Parts: sequence; C-alpha cells; structure tokens
Amino acid sequence: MIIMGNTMKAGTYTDFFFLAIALIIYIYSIRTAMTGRRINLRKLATIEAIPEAVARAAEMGAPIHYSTAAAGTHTSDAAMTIAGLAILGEVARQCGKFGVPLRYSCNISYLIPVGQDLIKQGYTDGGRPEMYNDDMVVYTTEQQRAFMSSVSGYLMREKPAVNMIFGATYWETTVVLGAGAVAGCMQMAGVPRLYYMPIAVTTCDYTLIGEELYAAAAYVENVPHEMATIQAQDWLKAIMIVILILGTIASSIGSDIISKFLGW
Amino acid sequence: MSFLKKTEIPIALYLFISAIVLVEHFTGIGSSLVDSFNSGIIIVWTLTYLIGTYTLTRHNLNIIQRRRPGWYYSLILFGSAIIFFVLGFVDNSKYLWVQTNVLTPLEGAMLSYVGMYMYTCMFRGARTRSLDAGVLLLVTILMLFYMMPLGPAVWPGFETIGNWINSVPNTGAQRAILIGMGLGLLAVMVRTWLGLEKSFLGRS
Repeated sequence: MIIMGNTMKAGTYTDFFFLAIALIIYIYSIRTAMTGRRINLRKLATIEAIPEAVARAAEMGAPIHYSTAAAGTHTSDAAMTIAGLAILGEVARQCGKFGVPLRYSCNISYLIPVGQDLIKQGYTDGGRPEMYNDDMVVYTTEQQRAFMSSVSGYLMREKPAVNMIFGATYWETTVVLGAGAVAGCMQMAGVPRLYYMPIAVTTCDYTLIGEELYAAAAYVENVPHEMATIQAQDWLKAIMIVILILGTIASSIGSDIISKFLGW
Repeated sequence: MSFLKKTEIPIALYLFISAIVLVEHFTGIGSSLVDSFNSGIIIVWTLTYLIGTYTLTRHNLNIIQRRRPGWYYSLILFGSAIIFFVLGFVDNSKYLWVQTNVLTPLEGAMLSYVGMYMYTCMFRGARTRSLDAGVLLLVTILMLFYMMPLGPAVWPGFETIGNWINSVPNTGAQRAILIGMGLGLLAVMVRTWLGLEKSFLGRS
C-alpha cells in the first residue's frame, strides 16, 4: 500500500491486505508440508465412499454417470468446475481399477478434451487403458435445458448404478439428482451454491457442501502440499472467526472500528 | 509441437493474466487490457464450439450407423442441425422463421416440461436419508406453514418460529458457508498459481 501510494482504489485496501495474508499463509503451509511434516485431516466421507460406489457399479454391471454441471472455466465458476474435474480424475482411476464404464456429460465444448484426457489417464492409472474410448465424454450442447433433458433421459433409460454431480451447480442439479433418485441410482454430489444444498441433501447418499468441494479437490490428490492448502484454509477460517468475534464485541459496545476496517 | 503440451505454458499464462486482472481490480490500471482479455475469452470459447460440433456429429453418426436403440432421435437431431445450419447461410428469412416458430416454442415447451418434471422428481426422489435430511424436512414443514397465509392463522407461533429461522440460523449458516466458499476459491486459485492444480489441463 505504501509502495502503491495513491494508485490503490478506495475500498480495496482490506481486500488487498487479506489477499496478501492469505497468500503468505498458503505458501508457508505448502513449504512446511514439503519438508515432510505430516498433516492430519478429517476424512471426507463422500470422497472416501468413491471406491465403494464404483465397486457397487462393478457388482451391478452398470455404468457410472458423472457431470461437472452446466458451467465451465471461462467465468467466475472456474474454481468450482476445476474442483469437479479433479474429482473426475479420481473417479476415472477407480473406474479403471474396478473395470466400470464411465460416462461424463458436459455442456461446455472445451471441457470435452479435458474430460477425455482425465478419463484416459484415470483408466491408464487404474490398470485398464483398453476400456477407455472417446465416447465416454458426451457433449450435450451449450444449452442448460438440453443438458438437463439429455442427462435425465440417459439416467431414466440406462439406469446407471451411480450418479455423480460435482461442480458449479445451477438448477440443472435439481433435475439431474431428481431423475437419478427416481432411477434408483446411488447418488453423490458436491454443491457449493446455497440454493441447491437442500436438494442434494435430500436426494443424495453422500454430499459435499460449500467449501468441502474445494477441499475435496485437494483431498483426492492425497499429497502433502495439496493437503497443506486445506490446513491453510482452516487457519484463515480461524482468523475470520477472530474478526467476527471482535466485530460482535465492537458493535455491542457501540464501536464501528471493525466495520470501518472491513470497508477500508 | 510437444512443447505445447507442457503444463508450464498454460499455467504461466494463467498466472500472467491473473496478475493483470488483480492489479486492475486493486488499482484500476490496465482496465482496457482486462476488457480485451474478457473479449478474448468469448472469442476462444466460441472457437471451441468446433470441438463440440465434431464430438456431437461423431457421437450421433456412430449411433445411426450402428442402429443403436433410439437411433432415429439421433437422425432427427443430426438432420435438424444440418437444415438449420444450411438455412443460416442460404435464406435468412427462413432461418429466422424456424427460430421463431420452431425453436422458441420447443424451448418453451422443454422448459415447462423440465419444470414440472423437477417437481414430480423431487416429490418421488427426496427422502430423509440422514439426520441432516430429517432436520431439513422439519424446517421445511415449519417454513411452509410460516409462508402460507393459513399457517399463522391456525397458530401464530408459526410466524415467530419462521422469522427466527430466517434471521438467526439461516442467515448465520449462509454467511458461514459463504466465508468458507470464498476461502476455498482462494485455495483453488493459489493451487493453480503454484501449478499444483492441473485438472483443468486434463492432468490429474
């Protein structure tokens, strides 16, 4: 801020301050993890259940359906879609391990090669590269309604063993999960948006809500430096809680110091 | 051309563009450059439609050739796409006619169908599978009575409970989730900057 002088926009000082603090914490945490310090994390039941879900599909001889919802990486939804793609890689690896066919429905054209690469690598890592084919990625056009009708039609006709949706979910989540529930699929979802959390909770066997989706993206990799980002996230959350408590106390005694700081 | 497949290049590009966007956000410097990036995203995205068109064509032709179940739907889709594409170049008035009189009503019908389907699916599919879902169901019933005019008329307590749920646990939980989501977004961004997150490049 001192270096920038008067070039900083009014009202962005606090944003900049928090971003700088967050970056320092993330980088410190990752560097510490790389020295070999072990990080213990709470298990994410949804991610832990992926092998169980794939094994169920193998027993039933039915495919698995996966979707990253109707959004891509060209908007502010990017981080959610990236998290969904990270989980797709893990699901493909498990499918390769258990010999289960996977169908990935996407309605963003540039996600087709990304999905194909992830699934191909997953099947190769899982030990069954011969099972992979390009048609495992199904493009349903860029229209959200086309995506919904395509996926719900597929779920009702083919009745896959497991239906998964992880990503930047919009209202297609309701249709996809509703159809999956009627088709009798085991369902797993990762919904970061508030509006669709109740739908996921009532129709799914396993759910990731809010930030859990981002944490899951790092969790599936299961390497220390990825885990370190989750730990850093917890430290930042602790800082937020302290600010919330201070803000509550300050406003209770009639001081606006914290609200002024946040709007700086 | 193998250097193009290296992950370092897209990550470096991502880092470079992110830095410019962040500088613009905090200082306002380079706003025209950021606008150009935004236009560029739309252009690149539109170009990638070619990949989608190729995949869709190959997928449907495959179904038609092998006479898989429901192959006639693929034929209708493929035929409609070709007719619509050709009309766009040959006769603009007919193209607009198809758009106004065929595509728009079909989209409207589809939207209505999906809306109704959504409600029936939720009615048949939603179950209290866990304690969380049970609590959610209880709160939904209470909120239902709070929202409908009959509820507070039957028992005024529904209004008190509904107001409390809305302003205390609901607001608190929403804010907590939003803060967590913001931090999660930041975590993904940092992982991508540091090259730890490669899934968007097709690498796990």
